[in-house]
Amino acid sequence: MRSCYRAICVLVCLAGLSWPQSTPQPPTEVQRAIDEFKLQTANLGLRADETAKSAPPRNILRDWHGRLFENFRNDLLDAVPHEITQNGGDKGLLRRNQYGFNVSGPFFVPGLTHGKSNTYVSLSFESVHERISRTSLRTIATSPERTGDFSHTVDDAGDPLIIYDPNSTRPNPAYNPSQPVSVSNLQYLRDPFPGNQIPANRLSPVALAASQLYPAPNASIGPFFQNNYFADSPEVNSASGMIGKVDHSIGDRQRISTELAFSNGVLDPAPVFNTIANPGAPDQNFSSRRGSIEHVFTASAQTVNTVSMQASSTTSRGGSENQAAFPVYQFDPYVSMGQAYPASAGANNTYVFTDGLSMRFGQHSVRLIGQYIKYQVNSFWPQYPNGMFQFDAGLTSLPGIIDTGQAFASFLLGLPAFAEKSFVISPSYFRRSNTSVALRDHYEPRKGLAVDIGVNIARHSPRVEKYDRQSTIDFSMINPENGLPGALAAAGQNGETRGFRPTLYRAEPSLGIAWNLTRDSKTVLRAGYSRSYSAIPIYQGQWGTQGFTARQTFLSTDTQLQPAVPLTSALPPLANPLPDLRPDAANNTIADLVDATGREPVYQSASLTIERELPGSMVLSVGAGYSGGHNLLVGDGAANPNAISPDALRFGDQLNNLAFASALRPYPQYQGFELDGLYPIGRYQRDAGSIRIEKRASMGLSLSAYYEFSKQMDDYSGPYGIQDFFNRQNDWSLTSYNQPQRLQVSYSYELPLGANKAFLTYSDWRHYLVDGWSLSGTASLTAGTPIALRPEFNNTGGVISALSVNVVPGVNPQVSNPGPALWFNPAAFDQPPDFSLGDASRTSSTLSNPGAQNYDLSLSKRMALGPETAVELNATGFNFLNHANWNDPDPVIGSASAPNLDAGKIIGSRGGRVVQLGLRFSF
Amino acid sequence: MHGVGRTPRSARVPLDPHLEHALDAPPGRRGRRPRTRGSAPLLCLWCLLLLANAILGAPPPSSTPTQVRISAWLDHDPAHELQAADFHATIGGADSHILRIECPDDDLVLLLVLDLSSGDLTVIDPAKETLLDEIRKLPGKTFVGLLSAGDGLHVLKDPTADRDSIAGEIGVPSLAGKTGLLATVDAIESIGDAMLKKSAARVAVLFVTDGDVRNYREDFTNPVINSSDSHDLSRRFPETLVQEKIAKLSAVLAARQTPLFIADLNQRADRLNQAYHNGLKQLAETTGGAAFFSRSITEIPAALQKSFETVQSHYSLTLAVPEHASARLQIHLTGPEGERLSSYRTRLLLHSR
Repeated sequence: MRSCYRAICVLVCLAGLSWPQSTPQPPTEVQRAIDEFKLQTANLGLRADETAKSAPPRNILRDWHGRLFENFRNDLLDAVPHEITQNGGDKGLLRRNQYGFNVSGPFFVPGLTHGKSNTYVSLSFESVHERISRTSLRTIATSPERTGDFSHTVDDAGDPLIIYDPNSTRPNPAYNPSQPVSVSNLQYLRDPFPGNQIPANRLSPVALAASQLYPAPNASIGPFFQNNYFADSPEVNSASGMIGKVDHSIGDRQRISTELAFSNGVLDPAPVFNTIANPGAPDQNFSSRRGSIEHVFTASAQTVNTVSMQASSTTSRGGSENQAAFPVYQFDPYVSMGQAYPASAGANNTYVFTDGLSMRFGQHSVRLIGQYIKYQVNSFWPQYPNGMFQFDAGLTSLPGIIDTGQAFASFLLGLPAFAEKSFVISPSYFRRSNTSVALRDHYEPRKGLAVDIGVNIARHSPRVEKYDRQSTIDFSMINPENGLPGALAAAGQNGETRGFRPTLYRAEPSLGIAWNLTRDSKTVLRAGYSRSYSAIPIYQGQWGTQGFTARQTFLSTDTQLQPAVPLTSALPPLANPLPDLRPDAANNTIADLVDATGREPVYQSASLTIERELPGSMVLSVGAGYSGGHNLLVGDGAANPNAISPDALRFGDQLNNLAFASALRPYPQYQGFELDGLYPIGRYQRDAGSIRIEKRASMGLSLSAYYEFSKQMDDYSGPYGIQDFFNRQNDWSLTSYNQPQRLQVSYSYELPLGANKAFLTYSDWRHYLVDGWSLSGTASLTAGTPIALRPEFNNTGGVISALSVNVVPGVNPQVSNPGPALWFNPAAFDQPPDFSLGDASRTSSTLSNPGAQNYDLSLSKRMALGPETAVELNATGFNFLNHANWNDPDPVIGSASAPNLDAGKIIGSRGGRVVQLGLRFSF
Repeated sequence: MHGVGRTPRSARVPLDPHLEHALDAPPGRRGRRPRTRGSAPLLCLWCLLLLANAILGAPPPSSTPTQVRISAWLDHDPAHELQAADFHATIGGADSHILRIECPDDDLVLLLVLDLSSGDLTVIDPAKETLLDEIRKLPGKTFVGLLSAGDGLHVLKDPTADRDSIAGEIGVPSLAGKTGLLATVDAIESIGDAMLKKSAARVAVLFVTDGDVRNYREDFTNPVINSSDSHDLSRRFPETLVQEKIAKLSAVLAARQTPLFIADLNQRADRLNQAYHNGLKQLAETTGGAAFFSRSITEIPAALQKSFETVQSHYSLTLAVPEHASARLQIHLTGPEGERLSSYRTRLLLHSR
């Protein structure tokens, strides 16, 4: 019968007719195949019909997979880091063991689940123990200096640095106020210490006692006495954690996935030196917890709903309250003493609830997403509970004359220019939330063209404190002390809202297009545009709680003439107990200021990419992109609502008088404002072009290369801040971290050896040697960031916090063969005159720091022990070429009379090959 | 034109009993040639591994199957009906007799496995529409079996030429959730091999997937567990785990004879998924099949059409394995005069390790 049917079919087909519409009986060969299909699928339990009941029970253990692994690093395997070699070291400590396991498979109960399970579980564990060298090259006071002997002390040019006796200060009767202060027109006279040595009876006992805890120099890298302390201490790091997942299917339409994770870690940072005066970070204890649950409901072929909830918590605890109290002494450029935040604790909790509904209508795919996120940040964060004393050169200088005096000499005399003490009596519990509803439509108006349109409506609530222990400076309030605007205001009191800022509602549109330019679908054009807002985040710390916490500050009326406070073993207690919510309680401090406007960071981006599939399994993408933003969050270095206008520089040396300078501030009752990096005023723009080539695996080789050239400008970035707060356009320059060119290559190659490969195809024992070798690697090359030059001296009376250098006209800043000896020409720049702005840009548009290269290579050997069991040995070389990347050149430009001899030079390089050996058993 | 001018089916060489034995054996326990122990001393590690291998999966020695089936494609449609004699094959350098050939217009059982688990209707809906179109366009001698892989392998429809019933099953909503290709590919390939063993019809497996490697139940992502471990370098090569899984599967699939085709509809550009896509391509090519990728939604129809065209147009050749051939076959095939082979399966293991 079947052969007749087959014959008919053949005739039909010979006649060019199509297969009959009614379901035909399959020919014999096909029927055999179908019968076998039914038999095999029944045996494997893959059928839902009756035949499945006769299927033999499956060995569910066969569906369990996992791995055990150990990653091992030891300095015996590594190259000695370049920075250690250059400082005379021959070894960098590294001991690291990282081990763990992962198992996953269907959940079953022997005798109950009968080889079938809709529940799948996964468990991962990892632990790490590490000791690693942390190195730094620093400058500390020399042994003679610590006894008050500055006879050998020199400035950056190698010239003697004169230390003046503040007790000899007296007005200069010949001073001409109409002329700037200069060596020939001194406002104050002051005598140098005889022999440039401070007499022993003048040394502060507190400073002398503290300096006993200061280490002796142990290096002489120079120049002169600089770079004389090489710190090489071990950092100890250990952590253990686990992730567990359960995935369960409920019928054919629903799935629930849950995940629980925890981790505990301890970080014992490398001390800069081993006394209680160590300025390094205190020990840290970390923990993280995370839990999530997701439910997917496939209502119909056109409707899928996903609802998820996630809660996560990370906590950190630094130092110990039982630690011996030691204040912080800062005497830049020497290494400071004492720890900031010696005992702190913080917790970040995040709760996320999301519901996403996907629907399909004709050519439209619509996705509706609602999300609610609750952020909690709990902080106990006293910065200087034992006090902080800051010393500068002013009190040991010749008043008004740069390159005289020294901060450490001021320390020995016990004459701080500034002092501060933190008082924190309770933690802060900050809260905020985001709520959003997003609607996205994917529309295909015709074949080969897809358009994505979306809008996200977001609600951003301001930060509040659980007990309303939050404060700011309210510019609409009158300060009772001077009758001027600006007074301390507490949240929820006197008409203030709980968060000071309004709750904001934003619409964030987006548009995307994918268009097949050719019929063969090998060329795709993609274009996109989006505009978005970023809510003001909550950082760890207790910024914005002044009045409930306190930073008792001691200011010098003139940092060249008067100390802020005598150096004693302890600062006096607070005059008013906390909470102190008097409107003038923050006067004469650097007050915490919460921006109360409705500004938020705004971002826009647009991109255009063309992708073309090439022969040889290759894809070429060429793209261009723009991104920009305004109201970006910046910190104190890039914004200062209480800045003195640069026009005030005309007052010259009068600005050194605290009262005079303060009177010039918009809010003279405050020395400044602490913005915590949350002031929305920054602006940036980035233009980039890119080329990407991807080669999919063929002959065992896959490759991806990405090259990007870009230019990013902004008015806020950099290590020092901006010069002119009143005209931000003057500080519009290259972003300090802009890398104009970047090339990244990654590749993977299975060596053509062994089973199923071209060469050395052995069936005997030799296949264990030749099978399963593979190489993976990455290479990255980046051009250097722009050099941010700064003058050695800033004699602007505190008006300008980040002074730029001057450009010397007609001098080429480039050198013919840039190298460590001279990377750029410092003669092209100059120290600005006293009380004047520099005219160079914040970051150089023509000078770049050295670029960086890194090459990682991983070699793996896999040995199969069975279809699912294998051992993989892995050797990975990070920076395997042991390439040394140069450090950045010294960007400090001295004056013509006191040049910085290091300017433009590169001291040392960094990096070194690190090798990690790994062993993984998988099953 | 069907079955004209070729070796009559009744005259075809019957399946070799050794092949049946090889195909009947479960994965990992198939025939293996006796090993030759080298006289050179091996390191203790190797001894341990060999011991472990013996404990965990060493198969009993078995005789080698004497015929295998491979897939091949011609550059162009031939000018005349092809016969086995039009091809010439060598295995390991020795001439191999071509026992049988099945042409693109011969019977084909296509095992279509849906792995549409992303829940992304912008991908799934166009994919299903195109699938329906392509299935309706298939010649009558193509029988389509439908399976799903999202929650383990499940049969949705036995192979049939009834396009409407297949279309009905494809239209049924599939549970969004977990990607299943890597977990199910060997099982479906083993089923295909069993069918090849029993039947002279062509059999092929086509996976249609939109999966993300991060969406597997088995973990290939190696997520950060200890966030405070700031010096972790072990995740600098995030693709390691997926590459290892692919290597294992490749070793197993190297012994499978059913060509595997994969249409990945949602190619992602991140490094981990790039390694995954490369792995899918490697798996398909290991079996003599091919993989097709859609980098954007607009390319989905083209990728699926190409997949179906390629599956449909493959030749299936049965080759006799020469005596004393290695278990690791190196195959060289030349097409009829004037016809160039665009691709064919060049390597095959006679047992899985």
